[in-house]
Amino acid sequence: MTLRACSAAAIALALLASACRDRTPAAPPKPAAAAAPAYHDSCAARIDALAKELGCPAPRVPAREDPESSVPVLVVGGQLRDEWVGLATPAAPDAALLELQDGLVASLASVGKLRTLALADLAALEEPAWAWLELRIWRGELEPAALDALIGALAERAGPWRSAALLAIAERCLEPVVRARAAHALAQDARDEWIVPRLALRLKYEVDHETAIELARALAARDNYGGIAALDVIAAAPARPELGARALEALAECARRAGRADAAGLHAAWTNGALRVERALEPRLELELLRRIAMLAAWQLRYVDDARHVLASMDGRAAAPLAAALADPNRYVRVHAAQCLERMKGRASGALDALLLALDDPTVASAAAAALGSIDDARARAELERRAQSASSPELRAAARRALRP
Amino acid sequence: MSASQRTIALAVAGAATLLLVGSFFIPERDAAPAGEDAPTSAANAHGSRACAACHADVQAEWAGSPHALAFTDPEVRRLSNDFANQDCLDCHAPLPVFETGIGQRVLPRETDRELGVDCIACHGLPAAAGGGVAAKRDGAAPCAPRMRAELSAPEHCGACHDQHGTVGQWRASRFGAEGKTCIDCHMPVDPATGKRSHAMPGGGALALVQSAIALEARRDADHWTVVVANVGAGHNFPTDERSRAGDVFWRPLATEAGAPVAAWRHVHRMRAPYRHETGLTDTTLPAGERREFAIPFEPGVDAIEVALFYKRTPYWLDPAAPDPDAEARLVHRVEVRKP
Repeated sequence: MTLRACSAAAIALALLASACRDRTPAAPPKPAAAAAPAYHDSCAARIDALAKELGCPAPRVPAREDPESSVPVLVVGGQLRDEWVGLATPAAPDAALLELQDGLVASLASVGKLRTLALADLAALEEPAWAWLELRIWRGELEPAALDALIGALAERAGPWRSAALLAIAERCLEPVVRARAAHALAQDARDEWIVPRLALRLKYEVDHETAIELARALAARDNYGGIAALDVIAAAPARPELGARALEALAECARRAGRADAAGLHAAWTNGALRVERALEPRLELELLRRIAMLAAWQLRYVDDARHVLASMDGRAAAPLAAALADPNRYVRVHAAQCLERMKGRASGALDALLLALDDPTVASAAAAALGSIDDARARAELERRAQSASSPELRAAARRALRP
Repeated sequence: MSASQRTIALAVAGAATLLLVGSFFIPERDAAPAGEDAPTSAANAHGSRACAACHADVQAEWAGSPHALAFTDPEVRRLSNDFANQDCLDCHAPLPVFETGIGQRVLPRETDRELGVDCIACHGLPAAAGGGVAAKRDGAAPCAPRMRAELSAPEHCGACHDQHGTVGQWRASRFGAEGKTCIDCHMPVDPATGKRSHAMPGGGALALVQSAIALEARRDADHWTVVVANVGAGHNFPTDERSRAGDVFWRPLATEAGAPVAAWRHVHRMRAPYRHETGLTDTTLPAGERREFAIPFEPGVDAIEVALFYKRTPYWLDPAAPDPDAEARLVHRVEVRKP
């Protein structure tokens, strides 16, 4: 009898346990396994391939033990690892070349024939010389006056190094007026889309309102409207009254470019993903994005924060590599990729299937739920409602409930 | 009801009770979860609120600590824009350190965020290991904690605090060489109970700050000399980037009653710059180091006072005319006079 009682108790226990645990109703049919972007079997492998294709060093994630990992990336004049910013370190500099550069840059600041000659010499510079010039700008080795003169020369030049040099000036020059001029030059055309991530990062830290306005315009020129929030802030509380008016003008210009009636319409369209960019990612832009996805695994949150900011500021094309990153072998990459998608809101709709699948990965499910909540989609809402009610993980239930809040 | 039916009913009731009570303390899964919805941690499943039932004294200590206020402190809410800046969540409402791993950084959690850095953040184990950890094993306790040496290791604290290089600073100091670790200063043993404090004093504890940093002033042949020294902190002073600063000021001493008090004049700032602050250098004072500053004599000034202030938000309301008495906390003040 005791044995039978124990057996009955065991069965009852099993049933009770089952009743307690298995509260998840039958799941609706899962979306077909999203076809992972073929290139993202290994983010690192793709980065290597792109770096090789573009002839630049493969960037690395700063190690925690790296003594330079605590160096603030944007401190001018700091000792930087060049690969952190994706710059190719050219072959050892030729002293004569550096001297020529110094002479050229000095001559650019002059007027008349000397400047004309300098412009001609600058146009004749070959690629290695431009690479060094960009690197020296980045390292803060050129004075603001020289950089200012260089901007004028670059404005008259079309070439592969134009945007790189202007961007380096906008990122690194200590003089706000010069940064603003460089950003203004970048806002004049839509060339070199690969600079968008770096423009977005510079805008995050830019404290000079004039430069910030030009950075937002440079982004918009490349169909990225991640800078309009900064324009709102400046319009509401400008450093100088005329900058408030310029911020409003820039907002109106951005709205016209995006085919929207006003700034409010632009905000809505950018947030809900209505402003689609149909062209494919150019390889250098793809490398910039993958480099930042890889950076999500960094120990220092400062790099992670920057990467999250940049990736979340991108247009909807970034959803594909981020969706693939949801299956990355590194947990931090998976979680932070989901956070980026959350911040992209409607622009992340291309990652919907991957996010729904990620709900079944306990290490990323909560972040995936938050991301699904930020995408206005009926399938996402239905799945969140189900998980909010019946997920066995309290973390996931809480995340789903939070994601469903208006 | 027959005896056998009563036996079965009692067995079921007993088993059910055991299950319900036991499930409170036992991890829901034994292995890394696979499949839908699995909780990432047993501790997460139950949160920290249950701990107070047995550890009310510890809970009370913790409740007033910076860890307890990590998510709710008004200053934190302001700086993080009410956590609209989600980047702050990782350390201000973290998953258990043991879940992401010692030596790794933490990730944010979804539940009980208002508890900040709560019990399970430090004591919770991942589901694969089950339960929690404590300074000693206690199989008789309902939570049956295991002993894990890493609980008191600097690398444990480093999951968050080394984001600002604190553990690295400690390792480079004599404290690291002597094996004096974070908990020796920040979780001192209460002589009355023999237990380590969970109040975890830090920059908000004036006495601790006063013991960390020393201020001296003397009169030399043709100038005043001010000396500031990191004598007690096992890391830089201050150790946090962005939001902490130590400032040394001086002013002529009002030696006569009713004489007007002069404005403070800035001598030196100890602070690590934040990322966007281009052109600034890290002036935090490493453990064991000292700095001297010369203040020229001024006509009519026969005595000065020097003060060290500690700020937990680095920017002055008016940078051109800082008011440390109103905006910072006085740590040390010394007077020096001409003979």
